[in-house]
Amino acid sequence: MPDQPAWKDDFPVSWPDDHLVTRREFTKTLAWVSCASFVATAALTAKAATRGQEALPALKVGEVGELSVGESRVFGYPAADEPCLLVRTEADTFVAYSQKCTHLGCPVVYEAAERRLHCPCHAGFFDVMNGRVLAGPPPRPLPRIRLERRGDELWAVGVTA
Amino acid sequence: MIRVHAALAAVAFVLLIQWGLLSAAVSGYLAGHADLLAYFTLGSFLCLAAAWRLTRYAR
Repeated sequence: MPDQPAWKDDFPVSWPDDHLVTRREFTKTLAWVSCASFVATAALTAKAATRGQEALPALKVGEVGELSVGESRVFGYPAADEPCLLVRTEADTFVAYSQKCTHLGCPVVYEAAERRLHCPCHAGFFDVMNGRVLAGPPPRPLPRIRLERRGDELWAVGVTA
Repeated sequence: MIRVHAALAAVAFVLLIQWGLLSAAVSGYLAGHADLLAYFTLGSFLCLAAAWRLTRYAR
């Protein structure tokens, strides 16, 4: 009769060579994970603190006479590949928002009759006057593009999250 | 032995709290609530201090 079970021959394990993790090592690893979590949170805070200070370029987005009341047009700001929506809500009122829905990034469109921005992907709705979520799954308001009127020209001068 | 296991469980609990704070910080960052992030960072630092303190008991 053999002095050890057959499975030990099939699956030999050298316990002295095997690396065992001690409780102390494991707890230290958890502490390092805790350290990494803190660093990530602090980095996020630092980035948020400096985000508003980034100077964005001013960009001409159109002229006052180009849009009738209730009309909208798409422009790129601050880069050409970042679509935004310029809306003329009143004769002398223009607003602009990022066109990316804050839910999953689908482009929003303006519904003049309802005076709201509509994301057709998952039925999200935003107030056209302030960008706040009216209904649907979007978790936060649309980033607003700050506009300046220079004579008959409209200029985008910044973004308010 | 009980002290070691209690310390391990406490560190794991502290980590859970910290991940919750990190998750809240990401949400706050995306929503533009920069004023709240400092509190999350402070809470995360306290959790880190607690975790380091607890590692002394896991020997």
